[in-house]
Amino acid sequence: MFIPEKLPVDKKYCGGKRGLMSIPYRYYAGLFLSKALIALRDEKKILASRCPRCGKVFMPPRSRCERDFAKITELISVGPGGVVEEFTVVNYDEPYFMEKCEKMMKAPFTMALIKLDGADTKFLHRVKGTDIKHGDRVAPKWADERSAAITDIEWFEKA
Amino acid sequence: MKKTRNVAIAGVGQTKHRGHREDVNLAELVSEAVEEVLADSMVDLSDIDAIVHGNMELFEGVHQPDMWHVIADGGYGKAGYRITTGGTTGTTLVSAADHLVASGMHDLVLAIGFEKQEEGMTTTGITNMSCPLWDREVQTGAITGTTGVIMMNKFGQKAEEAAAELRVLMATNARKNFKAHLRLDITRKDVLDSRVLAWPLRLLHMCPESNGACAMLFASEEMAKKLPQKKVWMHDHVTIHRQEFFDFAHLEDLNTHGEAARIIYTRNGIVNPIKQIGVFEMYDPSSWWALDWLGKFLFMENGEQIDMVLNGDFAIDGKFPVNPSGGVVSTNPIGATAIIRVAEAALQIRGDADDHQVPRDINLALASGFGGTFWTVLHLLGKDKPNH
Repeated sequence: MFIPEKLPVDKKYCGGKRGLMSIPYRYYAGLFLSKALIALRDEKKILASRCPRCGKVFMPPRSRCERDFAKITELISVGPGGVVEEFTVVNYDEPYFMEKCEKMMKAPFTMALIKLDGADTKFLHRVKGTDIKHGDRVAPKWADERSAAITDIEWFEKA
Repeated sequence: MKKTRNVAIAGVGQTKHRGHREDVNLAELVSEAVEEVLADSMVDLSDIDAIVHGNMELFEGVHQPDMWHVIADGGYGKAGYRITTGGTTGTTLVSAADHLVASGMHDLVLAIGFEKQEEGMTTTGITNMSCPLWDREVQTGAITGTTGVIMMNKFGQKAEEAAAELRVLMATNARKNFKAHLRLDITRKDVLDSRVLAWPLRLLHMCPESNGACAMLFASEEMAKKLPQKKVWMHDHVTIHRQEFFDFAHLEDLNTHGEAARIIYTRNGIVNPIKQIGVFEMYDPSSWWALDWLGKFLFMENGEQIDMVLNGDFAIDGKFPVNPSGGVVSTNPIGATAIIRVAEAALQIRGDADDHQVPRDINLALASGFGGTFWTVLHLLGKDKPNH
């Protein structure tokens, strides 16, 4: 683990420097994928994108098919229910994240790759509780205040 | 340069370069350029063997953009290479693609340079090129007045007039290029009245921050024969690096532009670049540097390029056209900036530069990249196959 205080290790013979690299950014979803974010906020609807050539349904939505480079212009509603395909139980609250990140969940909880009904790809979200197994059906718990972000779904819970 | 086999430019694609592209995300921006190069070369993506992909490190705050862009460049199942050499990234992409084809490794290689500068804070990337122990806190990138001071000390007021005139020429050219970012209608007075950044460097002398992407397709001679687009041939390229630390006042200890030009001219039998080379797309981060560098690339030790600027010799219809595209001072999506130089040079040879086409046949074109602590990558392209 990186412990800034530990540098330099040997203060007598070993010099060095501590620093903080700040990387501010703003990421534009683009007009097409913004529709999916806005649907989360305004309609509590999960929109995936469907490749016009191979029919693959991407959730999270993508505007290009990674297999055949087709431009995707169609958004379709998927879920809201889905199946836990892969998961891990989180047993540790990282103090840095708990302090700096919004809407963190207190451990223990489960992180899962969920395949929503109608989608061909899995997407990452948290599932309430730890009693989860492969193949469990889950449904979203929507946040009351939504901001067009994936956290508009607070978590998934067993259905 | 000894090559195993000849390499042709089989297609060129560019986005429109703009200050704002909130309508697309990073991958969508890149795919616009890829779509255009596929249309231009009339090649199917499945025929492409490898993708060389590059931008500035940390500029958008994305760690592995080449991974993100598999959806944007059709890279699934193909060889992928990521290249990031700072300002020269675009020209290094071209060098790498050229080597990959010339070596016999691949027959069709796609090179893509891009930057979406509105998304990140370029200072984050730029400051981290300097050593944290000695000078990181004061590192600022390319805004320096040193070259201007040296030129004014040497050549007087005339140099300042010429730097401004060169900026006006770039604006005149950019207005003919609908893909250019800044298409300004400015006069010499506007330039000289603009805000001082670091005297005598003024705001209008300096390049903008743009969003855009540029893609080029490189083909082996055998493959190129089967492709329908007009070919442009890769004749030669040179990369000259300098030391790690900055010393802008003593550039003569290793004049990287001059050294690169000397090697290219010597290897390719160029004794009179102005006569033999039809167009030069030069990486001009500021008009002061452009004014100085023209002298370095053309071996003009007494500032003859200053009079040439004031005579209009570098105009599209002049003696030695420079940056008919409008140059870097008009368009600067950094990871794409240098590859745009090569792409524009190729379009000029093909005669496909539309409104900013140089009005005469071009057999040889030169394209330069600049970056780091004065690094140069120089490419020579030709209408005819090189004689190796």
